[in-house]
Amino acid sequence: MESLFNIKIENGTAKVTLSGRLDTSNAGALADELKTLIGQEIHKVVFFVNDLEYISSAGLRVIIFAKQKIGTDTQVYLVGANSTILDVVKMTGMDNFLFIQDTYQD
Amino acid sequence: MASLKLSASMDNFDAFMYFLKSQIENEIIEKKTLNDILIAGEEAIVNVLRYAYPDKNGELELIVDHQENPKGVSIELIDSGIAFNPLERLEPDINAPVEDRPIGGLGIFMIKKMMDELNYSRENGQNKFRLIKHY
Repeated sequence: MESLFNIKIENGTAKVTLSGRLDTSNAGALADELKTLIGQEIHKVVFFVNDLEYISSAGLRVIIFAKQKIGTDTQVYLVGANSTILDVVKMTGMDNFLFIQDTYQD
Repeated sequence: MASLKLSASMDNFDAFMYFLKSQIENEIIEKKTLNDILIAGEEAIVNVLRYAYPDKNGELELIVDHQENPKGVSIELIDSGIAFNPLERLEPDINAPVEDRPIGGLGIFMIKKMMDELNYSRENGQNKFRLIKHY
């Protein structure tokens, strides 16, 4: 299934742009990329999801991983989510630990 | 009605999802409804591919059917693997702090939230799990 992601690191912030779908077929590849951030003094992980259609539970696990494993006090942002993604995030209680924004403001 | 029966291997995940999407995307205009069905379908398919056949090879049959009055789509998954009733799974604690959350356990919870009707039966050594969404 089509999906693309891109990671840029600037001043302790990892900016992750996702498009297509974050699902079982590609969540593992994204998790592998995010693992390379461990130990790099990352304080924020910002997921830009304007072009993402949906996230399945496999994708949610990657976002939980970002919060749990990249650093002790890492803040995780979700920017530009559509209604499908916002619903998934809210129904699973993940809105309790994500900063949810329409446009990125740090 | 259309069905696809393939070996229950993660190698066939994309084929099952492509089949599901191709059967419903022209019928369902609202993007969010389409996405909800695809997400729930993915969770159900992955459960069978990963867990139904721990010790042997087997197949998954995916049947997609359209309904009228009320309009809806039905997705049925049939496998001959170990008996597993997804409706008996305990719900995860979605209010738990993130540090305490096991990485996993969300898929069936999401199916329950996203679909309108769920039926499970065990007949003749087969799991039959049917998911219906009205639109």
